[in-house]
Amino acid sequence: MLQAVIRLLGADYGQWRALTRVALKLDLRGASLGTAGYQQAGGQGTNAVFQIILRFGFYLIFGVFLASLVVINQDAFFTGTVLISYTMIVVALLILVDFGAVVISPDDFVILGPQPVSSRTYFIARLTNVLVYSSLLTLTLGILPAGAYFFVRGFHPLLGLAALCANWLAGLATTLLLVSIYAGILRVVHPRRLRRAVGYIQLAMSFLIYGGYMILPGMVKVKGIGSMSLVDSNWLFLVPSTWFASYLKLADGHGGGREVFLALLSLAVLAVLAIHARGRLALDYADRLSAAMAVSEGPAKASKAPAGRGMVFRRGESRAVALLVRNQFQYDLKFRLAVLSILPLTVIYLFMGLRNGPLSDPLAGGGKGFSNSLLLNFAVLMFPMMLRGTLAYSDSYQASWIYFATPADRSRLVLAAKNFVFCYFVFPYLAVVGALMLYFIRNPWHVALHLGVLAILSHIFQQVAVFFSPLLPFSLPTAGHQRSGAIVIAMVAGPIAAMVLLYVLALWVYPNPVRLWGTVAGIVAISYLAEKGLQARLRRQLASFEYKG
Amino acid sequence: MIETNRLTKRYGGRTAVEDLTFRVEPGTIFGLLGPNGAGKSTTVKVLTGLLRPSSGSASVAGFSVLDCPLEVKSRLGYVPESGALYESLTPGEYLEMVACLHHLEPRTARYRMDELLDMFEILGQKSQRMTEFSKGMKQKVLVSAALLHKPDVLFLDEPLNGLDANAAMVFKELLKKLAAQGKAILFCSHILEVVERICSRILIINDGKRIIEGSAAEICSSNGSATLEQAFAQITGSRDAGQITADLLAALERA
Repeated sequence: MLQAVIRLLGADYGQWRALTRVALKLDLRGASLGTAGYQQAGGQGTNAVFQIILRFGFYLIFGVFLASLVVINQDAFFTGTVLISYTMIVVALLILVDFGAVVISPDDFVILGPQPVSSRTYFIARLTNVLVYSSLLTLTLGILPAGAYFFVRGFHPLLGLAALCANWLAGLATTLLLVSIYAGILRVVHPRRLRRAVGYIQLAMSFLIYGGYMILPGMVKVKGIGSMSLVDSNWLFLVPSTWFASYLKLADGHGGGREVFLALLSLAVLAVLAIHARGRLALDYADRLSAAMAVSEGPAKASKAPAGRGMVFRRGESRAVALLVRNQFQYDLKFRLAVLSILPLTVIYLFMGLRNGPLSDPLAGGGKGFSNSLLLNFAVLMFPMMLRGTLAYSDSYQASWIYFATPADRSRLVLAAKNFVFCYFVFPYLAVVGALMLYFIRNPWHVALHLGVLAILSHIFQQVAVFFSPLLPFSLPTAGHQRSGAIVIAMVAGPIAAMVLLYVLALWVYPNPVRLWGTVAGIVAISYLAEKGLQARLRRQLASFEYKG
Repeated sequence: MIETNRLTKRYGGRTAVEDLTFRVEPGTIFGLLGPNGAGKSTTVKVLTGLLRPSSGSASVAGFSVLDCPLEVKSRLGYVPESGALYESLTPGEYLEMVACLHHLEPRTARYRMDELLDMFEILGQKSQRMTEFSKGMKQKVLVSAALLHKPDVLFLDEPLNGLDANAAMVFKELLKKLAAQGKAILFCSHILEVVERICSRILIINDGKRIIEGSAAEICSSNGSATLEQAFAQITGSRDAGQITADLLAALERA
């Protein structure tokens, strides 16, 4: 059966099987096809398997919540739309953050290019690699809700099967769409501009996906979880998850002509995507990879201007780190995408905060209206932590021998990386938040004081992170699947932790001047002393560090 | 067996290979020499189907690299200069993948795999992941992969990189025997003593252009050099090595 499908798609079954097996082995061993897997170091296997288990365990737990919703709420169309929307968002995130490079990276073309593999086989093998993970993900997310549909209203196998099928097809459609977009970029964009174009397209798509979080709640009539339903508007059917959710309404016996149309529309979209992927996209895929590789073979474009010395990173280790980060951002696609994928979250948090009303003065009103700026404040605390992790992993990690073979002070390198994130991310972000707050609050002293507290807290957060886990910049091999996992955790668990701290500030610290100034003095002292102690501790700790290449 | 006709490859505005024409007959070990950036690797990448030529034509084993890439690729073996392979695999798994891509019978593939790994004395490491391998061990796996499907044509880009003296000796002997069997071998290397010893014909290129072609003796006699190394230095316009180093040391002293 599978053999027939692969042949129908125009690929060589034996070669497809060999390439797919290798890709999965590499993934499980901490490397992946198309992500410069041949450069990966050893010892990553257990870590990669653990990461995958952790990731899918998290989705299974989320499946429990979705199954609970199915049990509580009797509207199969509503619960199906929620389940499928979430699945589509998570699949899209998986592809955008972790698997984008699998499709368009020419890195392993030097290994497979000289082999007698047709372009179509090559493309379908890579597509399969992505589909395996997206299918596993949809199954993990959908299995418990599907079980709930099976049994919750008596024995209703058709509804359960419809849920499972709709969820998988929605994941498949998302995968095919995004892979087609990525492969399409290879055809449309000149290879020389490919890397930059991918960065911007990823940014735009991330906006769309995260934006879904804001659109869907606006379409829900909230009277209690058990009686939630979707508004009865034709506009609703512009949301693709409702097309697939219509299967559930049909299986539940409540569907009409509109649901039949939507179900057919979903199948038509899938067929168009499959035909598109099998067509020219697959036929000239290898040529496009070759062209992209040729670009990387060509002379490197000279840097426009040498990095300025700046105010902070003037010499020694800090200057070296600043130069390195700046150039890695310019030329290392993975690093750039990891940084860029954080930006949409920031803007959306900004938007979500403003949607609930104007920002209020955090130092006045006893914490009233503070929740509007909660996510903005959260971003100041949490995003530098995500950036810090991103800064440590690189495909060029083998070049980190330089830290070990020169008299560089490795503790200073670690601290310079922390300071770089602080200066080039936290400060500009605080400037934007400050400008916004000033527009609404018009009390520059209150704004400055609040932002000062946030800046110091953010710095302490980073110091704590460095204390427990010092990371040399770009010194660790990229562990697959870590980035979108970090984003998912930040989106779900992070706000809870930040909320506690920020509410303590708003409700307990800010209303009382003694507590306020006591806290300010306390955190300044903690940050100062921590910085002093950190360097000594790092020197001891880093003495035992070994080169990972 | 290998033929190029006015082959040109441009990277944007820069021409890496220009109007290159040469022919490698069956049974020949053909040395392709040139200084760094001369266009050797680019030429090999075009001939192995990794890059598309900008103009001109090239054929391998009688098939055009542009029109029949799969026929070409099924007849060639390639050892890339970068040593690129999937290090997370074991040599056994990597060679099995290559065998599958060439549609070799599993039994034949296993037999040849073991023979090749045994020849390079890494059969004992067949089931160990290559992440822990030295550069030379990885090179042995790459060479084994290039020979696994008994190709008619071999493209070897710095194949002796990292090989120990014993393996290098075995490999050089093997090349001579393969050439004697009628295979065409294109050999790129900076180790001119080896090239001089094993290549029956040599082409020197510089800035992507053909400079001179002939046997080692012919090239040496063309400019009165005693060795290929001296001839190469004169032909590619390098300054005197003694003078360069003297200038450098003086500059370092001044700084």
